[in-house]
Amino acid sequence: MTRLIKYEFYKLFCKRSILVVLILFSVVNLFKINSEFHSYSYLADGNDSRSWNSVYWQLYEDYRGEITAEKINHLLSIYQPLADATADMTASTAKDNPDMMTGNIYSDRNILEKYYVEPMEYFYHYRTYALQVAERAKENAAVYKERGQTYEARKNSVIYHLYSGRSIKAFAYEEMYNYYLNYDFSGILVLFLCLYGVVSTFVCEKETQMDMLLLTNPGGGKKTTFAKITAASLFVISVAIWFSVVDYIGFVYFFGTAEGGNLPLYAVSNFSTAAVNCNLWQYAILSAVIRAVGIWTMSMVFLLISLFGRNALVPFVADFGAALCFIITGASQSCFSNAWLKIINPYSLLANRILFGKTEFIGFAGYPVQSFQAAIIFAIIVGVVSITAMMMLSKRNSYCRERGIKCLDLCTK
Amino acid sequence: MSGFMHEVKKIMLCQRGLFYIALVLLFGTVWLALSDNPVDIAMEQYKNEYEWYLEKVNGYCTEESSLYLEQEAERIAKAKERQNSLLENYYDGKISESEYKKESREIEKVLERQNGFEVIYQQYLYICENAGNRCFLQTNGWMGLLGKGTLNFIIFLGILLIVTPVFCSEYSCQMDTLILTAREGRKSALYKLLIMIAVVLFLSLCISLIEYGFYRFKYGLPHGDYPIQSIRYFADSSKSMSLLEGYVLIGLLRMFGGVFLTILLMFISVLAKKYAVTLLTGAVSVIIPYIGLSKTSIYRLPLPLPFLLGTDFFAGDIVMSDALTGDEKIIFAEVGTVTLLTLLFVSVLLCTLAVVWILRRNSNRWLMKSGQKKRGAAFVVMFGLALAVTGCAGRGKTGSVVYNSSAGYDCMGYEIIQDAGNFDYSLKNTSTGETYPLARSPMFGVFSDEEEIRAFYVCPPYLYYTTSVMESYVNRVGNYNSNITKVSVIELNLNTFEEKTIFEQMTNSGRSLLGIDYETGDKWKFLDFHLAFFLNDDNLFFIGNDGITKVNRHTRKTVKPGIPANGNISFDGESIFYKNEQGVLTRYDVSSNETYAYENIVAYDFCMDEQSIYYVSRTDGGDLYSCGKDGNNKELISHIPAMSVTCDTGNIYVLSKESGEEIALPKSH
Amino acid sequence: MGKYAKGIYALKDFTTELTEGVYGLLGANGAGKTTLINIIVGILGSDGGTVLIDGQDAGTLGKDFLSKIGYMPQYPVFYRDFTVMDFLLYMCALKGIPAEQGKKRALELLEIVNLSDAKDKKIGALSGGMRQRVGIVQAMLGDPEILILDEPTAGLDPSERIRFRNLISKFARGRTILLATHIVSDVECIAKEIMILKEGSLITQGTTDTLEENIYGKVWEVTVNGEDAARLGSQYYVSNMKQQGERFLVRIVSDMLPDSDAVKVSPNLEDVFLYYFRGQ
Repeated sequence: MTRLIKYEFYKLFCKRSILVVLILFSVVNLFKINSEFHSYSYLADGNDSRSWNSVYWQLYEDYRGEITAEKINHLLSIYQPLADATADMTASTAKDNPDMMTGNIYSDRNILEKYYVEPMEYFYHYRTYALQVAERAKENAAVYKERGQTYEARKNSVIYHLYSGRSIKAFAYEEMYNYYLNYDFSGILVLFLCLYGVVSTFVCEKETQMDMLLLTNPGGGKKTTFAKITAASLFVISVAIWFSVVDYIGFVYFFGTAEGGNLPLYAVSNFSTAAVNCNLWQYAILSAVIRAVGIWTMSMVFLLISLFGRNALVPFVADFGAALCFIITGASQSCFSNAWLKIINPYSLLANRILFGKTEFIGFAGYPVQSFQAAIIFAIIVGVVSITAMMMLSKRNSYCRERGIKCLDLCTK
Repeated sequence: MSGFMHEVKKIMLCQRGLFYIALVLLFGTVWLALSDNPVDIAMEQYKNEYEWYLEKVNGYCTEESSLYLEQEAERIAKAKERQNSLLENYYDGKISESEYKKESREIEKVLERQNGFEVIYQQYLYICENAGNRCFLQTNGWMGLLGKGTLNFIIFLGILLIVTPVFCSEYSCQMDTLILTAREGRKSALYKLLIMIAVVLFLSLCISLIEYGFYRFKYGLPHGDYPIQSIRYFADSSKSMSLLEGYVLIGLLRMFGGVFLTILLMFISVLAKKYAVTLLTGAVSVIIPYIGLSKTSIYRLPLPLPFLLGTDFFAGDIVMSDALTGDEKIIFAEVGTVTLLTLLFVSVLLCTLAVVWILRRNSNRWLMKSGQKKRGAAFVVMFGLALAVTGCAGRGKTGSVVYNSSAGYDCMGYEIIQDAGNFDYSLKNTSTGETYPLARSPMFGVFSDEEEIRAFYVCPPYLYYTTSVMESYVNRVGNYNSNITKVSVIELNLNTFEEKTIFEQMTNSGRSLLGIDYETGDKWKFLDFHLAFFLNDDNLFFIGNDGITKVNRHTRKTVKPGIPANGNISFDGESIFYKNEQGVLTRYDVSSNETYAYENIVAYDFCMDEQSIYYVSRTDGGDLYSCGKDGNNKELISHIPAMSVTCDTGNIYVLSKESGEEIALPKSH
Repeated sequence: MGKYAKGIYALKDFTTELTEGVYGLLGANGAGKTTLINIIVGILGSDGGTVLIDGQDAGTLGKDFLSKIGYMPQYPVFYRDFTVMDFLLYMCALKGIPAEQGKKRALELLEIVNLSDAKDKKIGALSGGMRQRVGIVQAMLGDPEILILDEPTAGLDPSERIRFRNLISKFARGRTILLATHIVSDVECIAKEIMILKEGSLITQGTTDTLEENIYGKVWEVTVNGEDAARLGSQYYVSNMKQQGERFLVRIVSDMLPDSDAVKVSPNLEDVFLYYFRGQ
């Protein structure tokens, strides 16, 4: 069986065209990451001694690590006078002021505010906020228990446990992770590449009339179908992981740092109500795995659709249309609170911040299930159903059909 | 049958071209009809009034029209003022009924078109910014027709379906070699190209004409000769062209985009000879730049995409201010005529090279004088393309309770209280004194100041409240400015404290999804400014300063019934009761959209419960009366002159005009 | 003519002159037969040389050249959704034959190839042999002076193959037919001359008799026991082995005497083929 899978993988995916597309997409992805850095980071202003980039990293050594009262006081002692001086907007707009780090008083205030004061404030206060949530959840749990609302009581209990220990003890640069976690573009590239890869899995055999030949071999019916599905799964998972790695390396390279990996996920402000307690680097790995699950599910659906095509035309256009629908509805529903819409759309797993950015639950048999858990389970079910459908609908040798399971046994032996 | 007709038959029948064309036209039309919303809702709603003014100022803003509008604005303002004083005088008995009626008729004449005037005045303010190239006209039709910068996915998928098999099917059945060796084989490729170009031109033309017909029929497309800047989408455009010229040019550009995509697909299919590669390349060449590049970059690419979009070739600069530094950042840089022409030239050149290459590849070698140039042409096309790509819900349970916007909430033994310090809302159990946070999510409002509760509505056992939440993903303007504001209506069961979101809507337009604009326009702006709301099984009613907006819970259709929000608003599940501009109690039936004025009830204020309406009569010096919901069975309740009235289950509360104190009167009184 | 691609000569210095009659182009798989045919019919460009018809360059003749040739590709699939008649009319249009004339000609040819009853059948519903016959009909539509057939009998059963061979003989009158194959029996009886192509080069050309004569004295037969038969099979090129009771009659192609009991025999075209393609 392993040999068959190996051959199928080689036959279907070790093609020059796929390799070319993979390389091309990887390059396009890196260009896009570079443009993200230049479009959104204020630190992309070069290495001049008065650039924000230089000033930020000069100051960084003073404030990185454990957040202490000294560091906060020191920061405020620099920031507050600048904030006071610029409050009425009447300060000098000169850009070559030698007393200023960046040459301009407003610019100095802005860099401190954006990159030190606001994050430090958020980090510092996070523990209090989390405690507040935990306390509220605890109270809620008691209220619901009193009213016989078991589900709500359980849900609030989960929230309590999730938030009760949260705090951000150290200060670190988190901007790179902020943009990395909000980056969806590569998910679309993965989707296209996988669509291209899997759509010809069955179609290719039909075009070359190999489907008939395969049927006449002991390992040619279900065994080959299974090998194809396994090979396709391996391919899409590899592609998804490859792009996650490219994303991470790309962001680290263009932002010039991997600092902040040890910060908790909720240190990124739009993950303040994150559904999991893990570090940013751990989330990067988790995100890659979840994305692989998402793309696997979509690919299995694509594969199922392609089973009915005589050539790649209609399956590709149908799959492409379905992918566009998933993307557009998934993206437009991402900020709404209807968790079910996120769960049933595999796009949520591709751009998984939709699921992990907020603590959301759905009720299942009276038990609270976090939306990301439900989405993963749903995706796996859809994938398995698609595989089962493919196994049932794929052509079988008429003898195998008559002898049913006996033949299947023979085939697998 | 000629070779051409054989090719037509093959493409249209055997390859189902005709079926796909019909499908594209059908889906295109259905989608257009389903997805259309007027850009300016008020202009549509007060069409007749607006058009009355439009007739007077139509065209460029002249000194006369400017003077007329300013005078009219003043006249309306004065009329409103006069109406108020007239009403006061009449109710105070200073003038007789006949005098009142005579004068109010004159005032009503002035005010009868004030809603339409609001619309035209807004347009006037826009025109004044640059009176030289902006005109007064009915803009909804033109905005719908021209003001869409999004890709038509239906036509795009249609082109993929129709064009891809033209050459790929020849390769899949190995007919290519046979055609190559035939005397007229080269013509076959030429016919294929011509047929496909004609099909795509036909499709684009049909879609353009369908759009034109649709908008003309639905809103009207008047004055095509007015400058394109007359509609806001092209506000800062430096192009000198009329609306009709704009439509024609955008249509032509889209047609060219379709042809460009067709040629690109045919080029790839001849090069790769495989369906999957052709489809992937065709899809990627459009979608990847669409979602991956900024609009500015897209409109400078020699690819089919900018032409398929078309619209923004004629739009002006879009500039936004950076929230942190205050620096201005160009979000979209206008495409200059020279740039457009250069882009067009390069694209036409690429198309020509691709066509030449396709024909050469489909020519018998003995028919070609030179065999060496082919690689050069192919290389140029491929290089050009490579360069271009890398250029880099309700349950039927509401409406049984009478709502009064000015009354307190009867929350089944709970009281809604607001913390004076952090402004958080809580529910206080009136018997035990225990308090619970109103928003049941423990996370609500903790991490962000941009999460707030806005308004309440009680319909036991449910308490409904609205929340406004602002989320920010990337806090810097650019390709995608991911700030979104959403307003939600949440249903809280006061028995179980179970919570459920029954309505949610994004209200701002500053967000795009993966580069695809997610514009909400001004349609939902009213949600940002709502002060109160109520609902029934089918509709939500949001009360704002400028009146009530009705939102269908199922279709999300919004209607402004023209109900002023200048006093209490009551709702009994079927009708909305309010005071009209003259203080006359009026009823609006929410299902039939009909209004009925209770001419005999002129009130300073009113409130109602399940059986009765309580009102402070303006005509009787502020006496408090009650009557049935039909306005009959009028009964005097109190002679104490009052300013306002509210009620709860047991009492009626009046605010005494003289003492300024609230007096409680039992309903049994 | 020559064709150089990917570091090897697919065709090297190929020169020949063809007149009326059937010419067999023999060669092992990958010998360059299809490359040669593709160059002749203009699907591929050559890296030198040309095709001359009655002294006129095919490049100069252009479309007139294409009118003179009829081509049937290897493994034709055609349009599955077309009926036979529709397909032939389509081919008429491609060949520039007026519709009426084309229809008449198609019906005549279908009659000749015994496919009149199948004219309204979809091509997708035809058997392999019927499809091959449709292939030759489309090649013959323009009544070409030169008929080029690339592996026309590939995949056909013996009776279809014989039927096809007879058809070719029928069509050979008054025209030049170039028939590429690696099946010796396809050309043995009907070919006027045989060309043997090896690794892109024309190694010999002549009538069947001439070719057989060329290797006279290099074909042997010997009757041996099973053990010796196996030994001979491993040491020499055996063109045939026939069991005769307990013993075997072995036919060997060899420059030297393979066995002391071996006797010289007259070579046939298969021996010629084996002689030139020894070791391949």
